[in-house]
Amino acid sequence: MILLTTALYCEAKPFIKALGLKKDLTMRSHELFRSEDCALIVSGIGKTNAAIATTLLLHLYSDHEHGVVGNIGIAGAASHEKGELRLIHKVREAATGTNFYPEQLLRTETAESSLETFDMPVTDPALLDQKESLVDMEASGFVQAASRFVDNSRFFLFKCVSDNLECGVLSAQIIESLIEPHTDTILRYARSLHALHLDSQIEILTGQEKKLLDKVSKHLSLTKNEEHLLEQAAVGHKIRTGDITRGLYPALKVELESVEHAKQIFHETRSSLSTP
Amino acid sequence: MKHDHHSQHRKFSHVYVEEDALGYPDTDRILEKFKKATVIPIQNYKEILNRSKQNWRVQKESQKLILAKRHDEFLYPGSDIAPNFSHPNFYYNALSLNCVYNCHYCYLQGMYPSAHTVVFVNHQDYLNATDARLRELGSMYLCLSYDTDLLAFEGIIPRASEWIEFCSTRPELIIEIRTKSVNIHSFCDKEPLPNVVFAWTLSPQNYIDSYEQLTPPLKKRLAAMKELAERGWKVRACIDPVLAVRDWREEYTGLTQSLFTELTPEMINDISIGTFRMPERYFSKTLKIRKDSELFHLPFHKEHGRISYPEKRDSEMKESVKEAVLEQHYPEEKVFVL
Repeated sequence: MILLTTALYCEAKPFIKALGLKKDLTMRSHELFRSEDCALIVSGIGKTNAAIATTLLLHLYSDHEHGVVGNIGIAGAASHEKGELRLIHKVREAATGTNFYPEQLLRTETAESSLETFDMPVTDPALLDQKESLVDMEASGFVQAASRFVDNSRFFLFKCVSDNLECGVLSAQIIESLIEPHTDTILRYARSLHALHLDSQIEILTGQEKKLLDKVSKHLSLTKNEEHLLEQAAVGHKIRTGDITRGLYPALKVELESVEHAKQIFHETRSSLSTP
Repeated sequence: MKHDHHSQHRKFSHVYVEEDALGYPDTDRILEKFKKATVIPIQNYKEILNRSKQNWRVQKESQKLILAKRHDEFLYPGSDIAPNFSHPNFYYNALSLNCVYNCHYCYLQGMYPSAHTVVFVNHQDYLNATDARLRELGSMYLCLSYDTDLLAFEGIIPRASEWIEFCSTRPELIIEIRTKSVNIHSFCDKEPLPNVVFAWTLSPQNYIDSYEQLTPPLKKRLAAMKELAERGWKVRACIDPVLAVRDWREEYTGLTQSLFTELTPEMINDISIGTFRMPERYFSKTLKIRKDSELFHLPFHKEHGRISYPEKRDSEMKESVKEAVLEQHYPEEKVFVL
């Protein structure tokens, strides 16, 4: 699952189009767009809005263990060309001086940069901690929310330079035209990061083996803790022997006479699976 | 489509540099070696190393370097899990944190929340602290940088060479450089010192293949040991950790045979034997990272906050490896069983 957040609809529009996302009309608090394997939320401006929207999105997709989440938008910069895309490797929250470091795992042609999140638009470069940093109003809120839910190798930020800290408001059309040329680059990165996390997941038991474990757990009326202990024993047995079926089937065949009997079978099964 | 995906960054594609580390010659030396790396300024190395929710395995595939200044704890008293080889003043230090190798059984996975490597650049402070303690104690046995493989890092920053130089004028200081690396060329032409011990961790090749990713093969480790021993350096063989996996008895017997085929007993200063053990607090964290490794799904015994094999198995393994060593006519008084 690829999850995206933007502050404005015009920043989101190129992705909605490229990914064929459909608006979720049941969502009242935010504009949320979905497809089978992607979702995008429009947060509104500011770090608090970014944190709320990121939290909502990650909560909605909390069962997607290996998903990745990105924050995309425009940013000001004192020393970069307008239209440049940057992958962010450091986010500094100006109000608190706190730094955040998204993990950099993938090679990309896109240049990297640090970014500083302010509560208000910035026009004075002297306010920046590092003069080459980009400036936005959302990133630190996004990072703080994202890092509550997912590990820091699963979120990323791309920012497109929209102004050189001049005072003024950009039209939605201009913002969209700044983001649009970078849509493919950003999506390719997101897909690569997602693929990397899918590849790195460790699945020891097959779906069938998990079903068998579940069946045994139900048959023996195991508590959650007992289920966990049995699964641990099964995982160890699978790694050592490559098979858990022979160790589990006998438990299913037992006609249980009492709760105590079920506990006894649980202990015997667990013990037999734990023996190397 | 797989071919359309970005590849992962190479090792040390990014170097995080602590503000306090700037201006140290070692910082400049290391950055010079990684000219293409992206340099990211940080306030404190713990901002990177101690972040919450880090993915250790993914990080290990794309390890980053952190340059930092150590402010205190330049020496630690030796742990009772580590061997002191009968020296009363046993200390170790941490010149770097984390390792370039990827051994399943390594306690570092449980010790630090990150796989990234820290190098402390204020090396002179370590030397000064060691001198001060030496003056207090009169002598010291110091294991260099337990929390990394220093020799594997020698090409990046030659710490082992620097410590050997330091030892050359301090005969009361004995240092141990423990390694799996074969990066010995910088010592070959140096005058050997009696107070420097190169200690190689040795494992059967089948276990190296399965559980010690990125490390040099056994043959090369033995060749490196032999080369330094022949040049007069003290070398130690550490058969540690002995692992209770398939065919362990035959595998470790084979290992001792390989050791004594390559080196004569006279060439080996001493041999240490230890079975797998780990502090409990590190074990549970390591298990989460290595849940697919056979090493963590064996019968274990927990006592005094330490995880090891059940007592009977543990003794049997130590005895078996010791016997295999003694069968090669190696003097028993030079075998240390931990």
